[in-house]
Amino acid sequence: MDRLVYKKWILLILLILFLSPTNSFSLSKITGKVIDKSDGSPLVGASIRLEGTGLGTFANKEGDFLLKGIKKAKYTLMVTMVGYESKHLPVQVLDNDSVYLLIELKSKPLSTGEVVVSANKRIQAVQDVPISISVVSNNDLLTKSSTRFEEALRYVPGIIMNKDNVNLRGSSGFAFGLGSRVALLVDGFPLLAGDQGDMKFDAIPIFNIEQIEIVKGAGSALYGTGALGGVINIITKEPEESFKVKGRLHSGFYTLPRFKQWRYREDVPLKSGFDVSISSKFNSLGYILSGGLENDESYRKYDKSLQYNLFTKLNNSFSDFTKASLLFNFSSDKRDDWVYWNSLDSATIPPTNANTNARILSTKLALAGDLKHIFNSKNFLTFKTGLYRTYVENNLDVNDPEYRQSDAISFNTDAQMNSSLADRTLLTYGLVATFNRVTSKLYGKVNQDIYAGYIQGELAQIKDLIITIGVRTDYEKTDNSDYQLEFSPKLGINYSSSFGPKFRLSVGRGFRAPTVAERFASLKFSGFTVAPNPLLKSEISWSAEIGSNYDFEIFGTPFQYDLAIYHSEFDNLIEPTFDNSQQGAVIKFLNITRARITGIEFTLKSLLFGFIGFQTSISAMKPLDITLNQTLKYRSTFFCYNSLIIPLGNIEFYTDYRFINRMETVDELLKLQVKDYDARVPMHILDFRLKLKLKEMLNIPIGLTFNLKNALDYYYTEVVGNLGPTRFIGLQIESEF
Amino acid sequence: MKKIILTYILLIFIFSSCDMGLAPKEPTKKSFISGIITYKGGTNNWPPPDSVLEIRLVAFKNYPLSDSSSILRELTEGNAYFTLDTLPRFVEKANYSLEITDPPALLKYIAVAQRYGNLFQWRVIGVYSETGDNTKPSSVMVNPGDSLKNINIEVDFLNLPPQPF
Repeated sequence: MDRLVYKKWILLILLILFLSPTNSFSLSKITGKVIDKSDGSPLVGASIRLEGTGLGTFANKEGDFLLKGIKKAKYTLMVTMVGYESKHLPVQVLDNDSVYLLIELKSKPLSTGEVVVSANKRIQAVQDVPISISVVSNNDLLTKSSTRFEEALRYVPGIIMNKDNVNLRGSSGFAFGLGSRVALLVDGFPLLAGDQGDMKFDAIPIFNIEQIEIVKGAGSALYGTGALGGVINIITKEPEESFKVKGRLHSGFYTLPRFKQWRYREDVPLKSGFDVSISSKFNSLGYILSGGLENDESYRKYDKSLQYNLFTKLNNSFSDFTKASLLFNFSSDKRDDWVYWNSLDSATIPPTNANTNARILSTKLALAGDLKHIFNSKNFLTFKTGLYRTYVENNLDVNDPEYRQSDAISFNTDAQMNSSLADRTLLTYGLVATFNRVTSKLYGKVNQDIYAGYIQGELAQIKDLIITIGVRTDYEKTDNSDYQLEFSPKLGINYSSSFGPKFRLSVGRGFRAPTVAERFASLKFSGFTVAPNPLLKSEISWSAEIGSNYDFEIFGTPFQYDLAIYHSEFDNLIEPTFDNSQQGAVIKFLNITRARITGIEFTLKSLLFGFIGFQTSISAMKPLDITLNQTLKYRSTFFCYNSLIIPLGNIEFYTDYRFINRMETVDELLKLQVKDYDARVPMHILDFRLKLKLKEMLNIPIGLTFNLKNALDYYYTEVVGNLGPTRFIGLQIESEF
Repeated sequence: MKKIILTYILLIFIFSSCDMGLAPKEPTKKSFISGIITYKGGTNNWPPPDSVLEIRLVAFKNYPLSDSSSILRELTEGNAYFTLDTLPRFVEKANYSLEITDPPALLKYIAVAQRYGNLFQWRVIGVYSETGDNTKPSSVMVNPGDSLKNINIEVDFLNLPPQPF
């Protein structure tokens, strides 16, 4: 590994953090109070932001807020709060002015008060973005008792989890975990591995997530390679104002399968773990220190795993105008090398010829710095830089044909400016550099460099109408391969109608440069041989959608819907393909597929009888492989997610149900290697949870949750030859003080 | 209100309890054919290793086949049963056992196949024949629960059977 580059990068992050200039100019200020319109009570924690300026704050215990350092101009003040209607207020600020505002928010039970940063790389209310976006809040993670990232995504409308792949609106099938078609970021910092371009779920600090934002549709105009089908941005928590300790202990077991043929052990396999974090602030420096561990004996033989992670976040406010943060995340995963089952009749054991002594050790290290500097109320800079290192190795002898090892570091830097040009015109522009350095037994020594520039304008001069236009150019070069130049434009329109519903329209292009692994993979595993193909080109996509959302009431019961109709065209899709020109069962990654996906997504939320929370989402799509004139492989065409929350005093009862129809087609040649490759059924998964609020019941600062996952013990496959998780019964204890 | 909640939960149960998903087959209902493959001349007559990439036992429902590539086509289209892994190579004898997954099935042509190149490059090197005449393959009927033994095949690399197409 290039140690010099590595050291320089760390030095640069430290320099940015500790030598950042401070700025103490003071201009005008806006002060005020946020209250409930019905009873005048203060709304603690309401978010107040001056749109397009980077200036923002939260209301304190009295509902009061203060924004200072504001230059003379007209602004829009955005006020949001969970359970209340968001407000956009025009504000005129003069020189050395002091504006006081009393802001009344109207109660709106279904409003989550969400603000997002991922749609346009700036903070805005979720209803103002021109593209479909789903948000998994910290509260959702808590109520679903998610201890793994993939669990947090399982009920997001439009997403199907295919083992290690996030399939967003049909964009991804199954590709041995390589080359994610959905970009993954943590606090805006890319977190796809430099060699395989995949998501490592255990590298995500699940215990420290504030919210997960899922932007649907091609997003390369802002995020570049990987954002072919969408973007997932994980926003981590901010340090607490006063010292706080949080902990979570979870333990449970998989029930033994109904069928004796599938029982590979007499006792029940356990899964347990813990997470703990401390957080506080010393003057301007805030910190979070966190760590966790999980041991999973698995419902399948030879599928054990032991994971642990360490997470640190430091924030420093050098002044009201300059803030920096440093994020460190390390995770380690030691697991058995399960690939597929022996057969449906022995679905919980690997093939009899599998080397059951093989173990895989993987470590992931993310170190990222973030500097925000407000030059004035019209311009602010966001500078992010960092590295993400992934290392994977199995314990076989280096001369063993199935020995695997890869060390990859991905360096990323993004310098972004936001400027307010004129009345209600915002400009976002920046430069990005990504360097992937791979030293691998599997892929050789490979360097991949990507340089990009992007610019986006948001025009909101016309009342109730926001138009977004943007473009990004990426230059990609991998060692001896030809360079590739990608040009990704986007257009978005958001319209708030006078009769209620909000409408959105967007068109955009996405691309994904081939990963180092797809171009240079040369390995053998479980009977397959993977051969290199340095000539691979980028995958591209165009996607368009129209959507609408609206809050309404029927006989006093509030409802909220979101409807999206989308269409995507894909070209040059890279698929693992059996190569008939070579001897052996050889798989090569080839640009072979043209595809078209048309779909509809509908989500309905309600609060029945004023206290029962209900949400249903329905997705239907037609994923067509134009090359073969058949349904795209590894895609389901219909799925439906439902959630019901019933609070009964200090007990809350949750039920989630998901239905995913049977994948129509898979690669038929898998039949030669995987017995009962065609054993797949529709999925009916029912989860129950019971939460006891012991704090309210017994004045003990503990929350207790009983989990029953896959309550019906329904047996299914998410990917070929892999039985999905069987019934799991668990208990989770949470506490904070 | 309680009625509505109970109805909702009941509906979920009913909807999701239509079936319980995947299930293994009952062991008693499984059907097999098994036997011994004998290589004439022992280990001496085997072709060079680089042309014997796999040896599999294949039982076809259709016979004769249209062309050489139809061997793989019959496999992928579910008209043939085959051993999932390669059988032992460069040996004098090899035992095999093959599950017939959807009996009843009439197996018109049971053969030992050698892959000498890419996935489409196969040749037949031995055929099951009750008479011992490899030009006259024999059919076998497999019913649910059958376990037919002694489906033995002789392979003579110096005198290969006619190809089934």
